[in-house]
Amino acid sequence: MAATALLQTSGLTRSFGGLLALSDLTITVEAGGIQGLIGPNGSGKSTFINVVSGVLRPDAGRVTIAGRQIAGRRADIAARAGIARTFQNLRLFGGLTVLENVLMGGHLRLRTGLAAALLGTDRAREQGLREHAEQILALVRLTHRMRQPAGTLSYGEQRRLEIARALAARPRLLLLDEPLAGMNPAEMAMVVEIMQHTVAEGVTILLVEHAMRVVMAVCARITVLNFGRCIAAGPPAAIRRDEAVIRAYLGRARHDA
Amino acid sequence: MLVQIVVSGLASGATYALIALGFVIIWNTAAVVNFAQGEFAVAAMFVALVLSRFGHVPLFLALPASVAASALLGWLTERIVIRPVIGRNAMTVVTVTIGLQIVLSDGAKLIFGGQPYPFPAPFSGAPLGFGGVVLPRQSLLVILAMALLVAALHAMSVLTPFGKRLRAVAQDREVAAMMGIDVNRTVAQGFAVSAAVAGVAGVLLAPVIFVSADLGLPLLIKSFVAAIIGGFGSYPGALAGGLLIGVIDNVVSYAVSTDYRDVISFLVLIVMLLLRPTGLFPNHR
Repeated sequence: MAATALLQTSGLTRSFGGLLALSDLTITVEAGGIQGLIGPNGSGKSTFINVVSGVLRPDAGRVTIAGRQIAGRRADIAARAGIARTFQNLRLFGGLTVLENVLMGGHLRLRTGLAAALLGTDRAREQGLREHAEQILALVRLTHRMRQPAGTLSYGEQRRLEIARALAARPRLLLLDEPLAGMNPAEMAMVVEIMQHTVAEGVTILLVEHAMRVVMAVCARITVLNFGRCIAAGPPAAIRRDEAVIRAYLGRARHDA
Repeated sequence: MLVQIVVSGLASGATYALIALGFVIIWNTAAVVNFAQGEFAVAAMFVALVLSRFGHVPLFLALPASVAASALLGWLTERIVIRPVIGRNAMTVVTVTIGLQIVLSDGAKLIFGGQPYPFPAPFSGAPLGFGGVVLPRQSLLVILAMALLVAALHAMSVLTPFGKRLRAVAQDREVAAMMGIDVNRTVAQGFAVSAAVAGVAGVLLAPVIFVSADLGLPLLIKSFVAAIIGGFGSYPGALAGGLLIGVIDNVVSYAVSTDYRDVISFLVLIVMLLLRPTGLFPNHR
């Protein structure tokens, strides 16, 4: 298994008061493809994403991306290391236009000096970012909404815009936190298509999702959390048969599947 | 005559508006209510005064240098005073900025004493007349400079990556950080821009009033009232509020008495808070 671990966490622990959200968690995400992260509500999936993306500091443990230790460092450092994410509850810049949101995602590829920014000496690179942003908007089918404030988009469109903004950073690892929540089947199909296109471009996706049928269909490998621990990891077929998983989770989910 | 009073009110209102604007920039990017904002303007006045009166530097160099100095002061304020307490209890942060206001104001008093200093006007000459209304050149300059600066700030905010970075941090610090934006650095730059705007207000105001160490607090209070009337956090609101306060000040000074102008300003504030607590432009950020 030592092949090509893109993301490796070890001994990751985080508690909120008396609640242990992550307990000595060790997870490996290999480069390439979509890896699923599932588990019942409150099992620590969102905490995991928050720690990996630098929003939360872990109490203990390490997070390495492509060999770089980033646990406990600031979110902009995680972003520079190649991690991008979306949010379970949408967090777009509602007052900025759709295009500006995507450009903001590509921000870290611009120089950030005040002088360069004010004098506009970064024009060539800005032009490149803009072209990339327009390609991404075409991919998520929001080209026609480009100049609208992000806040005016429909729910499904806002979800796709979040993915677009994350992609603009050209991440190595894209963390998707329930990207399909509240979507109708047509919108889901569109997001799955975006994910597959993204993976084909060499980006690795860690997908947190409750829509089991989609997770089972698109993920090469699935990790299951319960009470902040990893209770199973493996290909979908093995996860489906795993006793601990069925007890913790799928046993209930199967009724509506 | 009323036109005359309104126009000269607009001129002093323009400086309140600029300070309020700087105040709002800091509030929006850092969620900090900066009670030392008036001192940024006073700092620029003293730097310009020292350079031009005692250093004999020509005004066209002294004015930009003093604005740069207040920008530096704003940047240092964020690095040294604000950053260690950012994210703490709001009262802690407010108390720290009040402390900074006292330190800067009393520091200026230690160096320059309590007396007022006259400041040379960049444009001398007879006031200009427009159909019976007489306008001092400095008043025109102030209004013109405010309009230009506001247009420049707007362009910066909308067109430049720096402006977009500021807006992103203002809207959601956490997500901005996740876009790879160095939030601390952006906030420090926001403080610098905000202090520079206050500095411009300071050097524009300096020839009209006498420069003295205790100007910061009254300037702050006027701009604070202006920002609230405009709708706290709103840029057009800060401008409208500043101009309104300037005009009300002047009209009251003329029609009632100078002693009552602060009373009326606060009365307007109270009425505003009672009838329209979200301000004139609640949704324009």
